[in-house]
Amino acid sequence: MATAIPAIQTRNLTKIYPGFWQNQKVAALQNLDLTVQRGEIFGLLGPNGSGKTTTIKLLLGLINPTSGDAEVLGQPSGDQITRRSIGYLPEETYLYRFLNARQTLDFYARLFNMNSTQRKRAIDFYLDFVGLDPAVRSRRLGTYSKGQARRVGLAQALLNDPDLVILDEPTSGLDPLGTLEMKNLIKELKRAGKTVLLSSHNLSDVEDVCDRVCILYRGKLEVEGTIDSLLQVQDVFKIEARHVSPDVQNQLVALLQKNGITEINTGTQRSRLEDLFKKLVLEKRAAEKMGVSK
Amino acid sequence: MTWNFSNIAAYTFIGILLIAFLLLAYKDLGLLFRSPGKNMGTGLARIWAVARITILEARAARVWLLPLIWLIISLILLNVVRPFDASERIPLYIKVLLLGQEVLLLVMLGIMACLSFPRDRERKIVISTASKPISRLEMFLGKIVGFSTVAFFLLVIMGLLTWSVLLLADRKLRDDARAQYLLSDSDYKRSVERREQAVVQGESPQAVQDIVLSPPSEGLKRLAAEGSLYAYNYITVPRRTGFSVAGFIDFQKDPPARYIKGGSSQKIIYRFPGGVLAPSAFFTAPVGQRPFFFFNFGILGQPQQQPQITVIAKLLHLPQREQSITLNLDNRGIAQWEPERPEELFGSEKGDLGPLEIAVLCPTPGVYLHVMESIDPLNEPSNIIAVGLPPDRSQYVYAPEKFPRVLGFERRDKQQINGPQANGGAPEMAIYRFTADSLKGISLNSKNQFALAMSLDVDKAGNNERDTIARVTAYNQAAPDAPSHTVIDNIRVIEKRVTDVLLPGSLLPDPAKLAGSDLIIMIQCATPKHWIALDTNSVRIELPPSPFFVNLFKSELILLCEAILLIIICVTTSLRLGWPVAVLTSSVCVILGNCAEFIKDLQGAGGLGSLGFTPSADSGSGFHLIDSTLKFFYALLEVLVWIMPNFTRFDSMAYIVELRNTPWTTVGLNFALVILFALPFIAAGYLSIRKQELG
Repeated sequence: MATAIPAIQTRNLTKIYPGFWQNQKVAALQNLDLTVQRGEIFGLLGPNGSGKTTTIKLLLGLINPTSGDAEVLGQPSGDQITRRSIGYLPEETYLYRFLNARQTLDFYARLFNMNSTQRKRAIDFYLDFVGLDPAVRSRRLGTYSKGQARRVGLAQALLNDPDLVILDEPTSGLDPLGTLEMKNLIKELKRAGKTVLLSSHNLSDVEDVCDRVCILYRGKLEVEGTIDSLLQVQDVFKIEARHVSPDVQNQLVALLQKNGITEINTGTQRSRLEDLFKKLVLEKRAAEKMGVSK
Repeated sequence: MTWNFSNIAAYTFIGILLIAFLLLAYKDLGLLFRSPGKNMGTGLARIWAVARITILEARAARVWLLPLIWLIISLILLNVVRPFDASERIPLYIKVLLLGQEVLLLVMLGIMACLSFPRDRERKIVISTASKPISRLEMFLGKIVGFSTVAFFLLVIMGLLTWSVLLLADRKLRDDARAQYLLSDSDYKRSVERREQAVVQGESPQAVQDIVLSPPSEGLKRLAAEGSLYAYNYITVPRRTGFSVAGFIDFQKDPPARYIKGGSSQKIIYRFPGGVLAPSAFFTAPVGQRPFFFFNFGILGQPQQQPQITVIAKLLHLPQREQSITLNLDNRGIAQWEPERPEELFGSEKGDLGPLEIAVLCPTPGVYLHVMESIDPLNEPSNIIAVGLPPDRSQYVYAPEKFPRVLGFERRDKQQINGPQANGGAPEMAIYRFTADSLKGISLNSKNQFALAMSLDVDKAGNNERDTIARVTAYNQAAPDAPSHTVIDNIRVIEKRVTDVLLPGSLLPDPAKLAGSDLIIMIQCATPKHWIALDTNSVRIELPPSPFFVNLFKSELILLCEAILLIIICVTTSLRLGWPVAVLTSSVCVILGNCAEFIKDLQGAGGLGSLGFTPSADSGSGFHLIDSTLKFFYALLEVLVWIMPNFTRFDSMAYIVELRNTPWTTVGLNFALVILFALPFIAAGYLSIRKQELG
């Protein structure tokens, strides 16, 4: 039985940017060996300048490798025909400012050879899917907020129902609620059998959605593995429970001390600001939908 | 076209470019026309997708203001420009309107095309686009198609506006002409009445003569009735050799012999093609042993003094280097001339300097010089022979052109022939030679006649009250003897309007035997003190006219060709360069393309020679160094010029301003030229963007 072809595979992928006089070379990526299997959500992590975006651009054929090679969906990177199965959301929203959302998506849909019925259906579906306010859909993109433009950018990335979705900083410019929606969307993509390559600074986002991650530093792959294997702390035991009275807490601490365990941290669970924000906004929206204002 | 270093280098470069393009782009080219499966379609659809966005980009840049701005500027200009004559108003309007379109369209679309791709790159929009299944070639071609479509729509709008403006102008012109004609007609009738009254009242003959009778212009009447919006189809004589004038023609000879008149401006022009008279031939021998020109003229008339000829020699491409001399003809009509200072004519060049033109006039009044038709120079006498050419001075060359051109007095680019002279001299003749193979598709009327159309100008030096009368003589070269001539007298010349003359169809050549069956038309002015002014196109054989609107559309199509070519250049240069450099580079391309012929001639003129500096025996090494550097620079420029599109080939006004129908072949040729000129640019553009990093 043939083994499944990975969604992404790089071998010794290297990118060196030459300086103007050829003597100020910058090694953006060095000998990257990476495999992303089909159907997984893979996180590409690293500080600024670590080579995340360079990797993505190499995979899309937007820039040329100095050495090494990369395959995407079994074809050499940059292959025109393979790109019909790829969706890409750049780190910033790079779209024509004089077009409105519909015209923008119409343009990209035409590149995928959709007929007018398919285009209309896909545009309506994805604009709803990314939650772009219908009132702004006919306005020029130049007048959009960053979050609105980001949603259009996401819609163009998904328009062709791609097998591989490459998201570069997908939550950049989104409010916490948008971030949550994005994370849900990524999970939904996985459920639909898509492969997602995710590059982000927001580690908690990555942690929430990714199956596997790798960390790049100065163009080199430092670590790679599943979230659980990388984050598991073997010698720490944790219990979470609700409505535990102080007496019971004291008894538990005493029991641990009795068994010779001295490094014990206790305390009440603190909610995250993000959770509080989401709760508030979601409640407000629900009330607005029902026509009730508090 | 003669092959030289520059065009060989240029075409080699273009060839390599095209081969590299085909080798590297074959995959992308294949995808333009085939669909590899779901979600792909053909490349043509993706090109159109990019083109649509480009059209929207142009709309966002308010390109639609262009026709409005053009219309305002044109209307201002149309109110300012004043034609020489009312009948020239429409051609002048056409010139202004089309020139305005050309300038504004090329400037605006050129700048937009230069801006578009660099802006996509700066705003990184190109990243989003290039991540989709579209090739760089498709993106590149999409921009070109987009801007070309914008150019097409703009030209359609401006063409319709031009049509409307011209319709209004023509209507006003006709109304004005009608009013003017009625006024001058009533003046004329009043003058006639006054004269009749003066005669009846017994006034003195001088007083009667003082009442000037100026008949109303028939041209105005025709203008009022017909207007000016026509697209005539006609057969004309060949531009260079088909039209000439003569002082006298002797039909007793076979073929009829032309003569130039001594003491007039008439001159015979002989042309030796480039390469035949190599300048080195004039330098390598000492004075007295150099090549010389041998002249041989038959002479008519009884001159009071020894007949002379004035010889003017000049290089066609370097007309500033003219040399002239007056020579005495001996009693056999023979003279010879060895250029004494050939360097004045040829400079220091040793190579081919292009055609050499030698004009011969006769300054002696009272004689006529025989113009020998060089039909068979080896067996018949010839007027001019270059003799003593290298290598052994035994070589000689005849002026190889059949029917050497004869031109006379010229005014406002038109030849003028005079009417009968007071001293009884024969009136001059204008001769039109329609080649037999051009006389096709001529329709004959029920009387087996065809129409000869004449559009003549009139210059009256006196005799103002009389109409100008022309005399037309027509014969076929196959039957040159006078009895077989068709002569039509008393043709009233209507200035600047077409006068039709019906000629028998028997004058047309037999399609089965075209050789030696040219149609010859001769025009004479029969009114003393009047001149008829004409040029190559003044006498023609008319075919049914075409609609003016269609002709205007053809001119717009030629403009579109020019715009497309400019767009291709601009988009190509902007692929790797920033927009300011792209604008500059494109402008240089257009300038080179418009100065193509001039720059090619520079190469022939040598280095400092082109600036008017002639080397002498004591020219120092510095002179030669600068001379060689300039020559090298010109050679490089010429290579560039051969690579660049020749923009002078696109002339949207060549036909329409003459109210002449533009042949569809000309339009087709322009489109073919666009493809031909654009190919190297598309190849260069693709090769430059193929591996360009877009991130």
